[in-house]
Amino acid sequence: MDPEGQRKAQQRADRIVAFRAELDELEREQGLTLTADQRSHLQTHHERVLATLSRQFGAEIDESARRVSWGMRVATLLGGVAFFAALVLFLHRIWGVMPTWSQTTVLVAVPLLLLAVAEYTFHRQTASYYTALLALAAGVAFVMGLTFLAGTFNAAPSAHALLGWAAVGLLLAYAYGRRLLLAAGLVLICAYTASLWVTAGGGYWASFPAQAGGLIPAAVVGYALPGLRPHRDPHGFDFVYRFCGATVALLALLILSKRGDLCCSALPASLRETVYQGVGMLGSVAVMFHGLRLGRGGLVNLGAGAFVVFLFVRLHAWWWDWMPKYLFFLLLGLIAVALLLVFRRTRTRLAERARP
Amino acid sequence: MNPSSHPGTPLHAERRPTCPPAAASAVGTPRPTNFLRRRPLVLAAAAVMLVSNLWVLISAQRNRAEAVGGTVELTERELELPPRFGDSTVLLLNLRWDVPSANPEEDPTFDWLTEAKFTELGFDCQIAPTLPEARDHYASQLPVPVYVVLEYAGAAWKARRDDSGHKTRLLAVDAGRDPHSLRQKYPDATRYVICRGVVRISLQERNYRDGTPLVPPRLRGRLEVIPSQIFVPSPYCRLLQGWQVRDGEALEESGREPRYAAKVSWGARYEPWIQGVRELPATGTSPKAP
Repeated sequence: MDPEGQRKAQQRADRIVAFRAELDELEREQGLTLTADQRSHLQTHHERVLATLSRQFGAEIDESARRVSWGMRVATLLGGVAFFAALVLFLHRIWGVMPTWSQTTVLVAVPLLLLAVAEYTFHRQTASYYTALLALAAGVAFVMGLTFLAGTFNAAPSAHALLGWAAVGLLLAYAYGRRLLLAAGLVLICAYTASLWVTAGGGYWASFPAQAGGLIPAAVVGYALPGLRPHRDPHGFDFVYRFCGATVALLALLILSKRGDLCCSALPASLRETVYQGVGMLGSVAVMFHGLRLGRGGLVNLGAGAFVVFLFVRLHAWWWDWMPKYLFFLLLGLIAVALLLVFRRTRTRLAERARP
Repeated sequence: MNPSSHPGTPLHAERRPTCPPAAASAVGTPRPTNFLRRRPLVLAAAAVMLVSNLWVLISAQRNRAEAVGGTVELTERELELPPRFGDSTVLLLNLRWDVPSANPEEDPTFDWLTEAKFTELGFDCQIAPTLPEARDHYASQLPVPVYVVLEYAGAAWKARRDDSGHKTRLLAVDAGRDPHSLRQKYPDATRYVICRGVVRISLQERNYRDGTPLVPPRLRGRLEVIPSQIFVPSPYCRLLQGWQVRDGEALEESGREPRYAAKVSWGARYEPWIQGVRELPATGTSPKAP
């Protein structure tokens, strides 16, 4: 079942339910009164639409149906995790008696099998949630399988595994319209490019988190990609690109502000810290304003949260050593209140922008 | 069902999301899945999975084509049996090796990891350890991948002042960026193993024993062998699992003689594999060092 169609059908069903509740309220307040014919016609029309949405798209048309659906999803998730754990523990139990060829077959076949089942459920037009869960399970099984296969042959860890995992995550994300898989793929791509950066400098690839500067180029490209050309975005992927890009870049700047080894090594360590934290704060503000411009509350929240973190880290570096601790925390509290006022005003602007 | 094919519905106003049409006569079938676009993506994902796994298998095959890294028979001293974890029959032996230090109790560091060796391995040692900026300089340097030379029961082990007979006889005696040069320097592949590793550099400013300031500070290295555990294939698992207990005691702590020996080879990619495992006689003797 097409996830985009399901999402839009659910949005329509939610609007109808909300409309009905508001109409009842308006009639009680005598703000609007429909004639009996109008009410009957409207009722019939809405019932027909809701029945169609429920039948063809599986939309939940009332609160009780929604609760049951959530219960089914939780049960499915827990059941899926339990089955997965049972399979892993069973394989652990029998692994030692299995010949190498059968171990290899299991590790290669399980992710492919899960992918095949995900494709089958998609083709049968079952609820997109189950397809998403199976696609995610296929991705996780591939990561685990490749790791265990390398361990079976005592292979040295390789950065190219990150590329394989990222490729599968991105391909499955676009195949099934799943944002979580896209986010995982984008983060892995950033990690892979950072590991290449470290390797090119003669370092050990797995130490790329320590030289976080290598994460920034891919993160910036990921953030900029949605804006490079006009296109349709039925699954909301643009937001994922921007959110992941901004998160990785800001996190890299935070790490750099403590290590400071990307550049400016001629500067004293304290000045390097200040430079990176200043860049981080500016970047956070830029993300906030870009989020406001796009009407994306998630980006605004990310920028705001990152700004607060960078600010508090900088204040800690400036004040902690010499300021009385009670005064330090008092000032932090006052700054937090000031930031709340600023964010409140920002939220108002965001709400105004969202109105048609 | 394509919402854009029903322009008469009120929900096609600007900035309002499209959705399935409302009128009963306009209700159609669910929007068809885009078969031509989605299926190639799924097939590509499956292909990536297959190719990735195939790559690992081919690399393993190439590694085992020739034991360039050396072949030695190691005992329980060097291949520690870990405690059993639950019902798991997965078995990985811990590779235990040591450092040839003139005074291992007081200074367990590598005597051969000098400033010249650090420079040879690719570290930037231009800043003198006594300068104020030395701490940040050496703390910011990333670990470097190297090839490590492990000597089995050789001169370095014999030179140890104290050996109760239960400590590992595998000692790290050298490292370099080029494995072929190392093999030329240590040609005996039955005594010297060349394997992969990682070296980290740091500035030692205090004595390890009592924490007093070290004057002058000096450069120190940490070495890690990769992988640090060796997978035991199934034909040999059964022998070793008989000795595996939940809360196992290390050989060194127990004071017993090693119970098994394993023939381990390091191949063309300097990755190890176990070629055979045998039980050692329980008389207290262990295979003589070559």
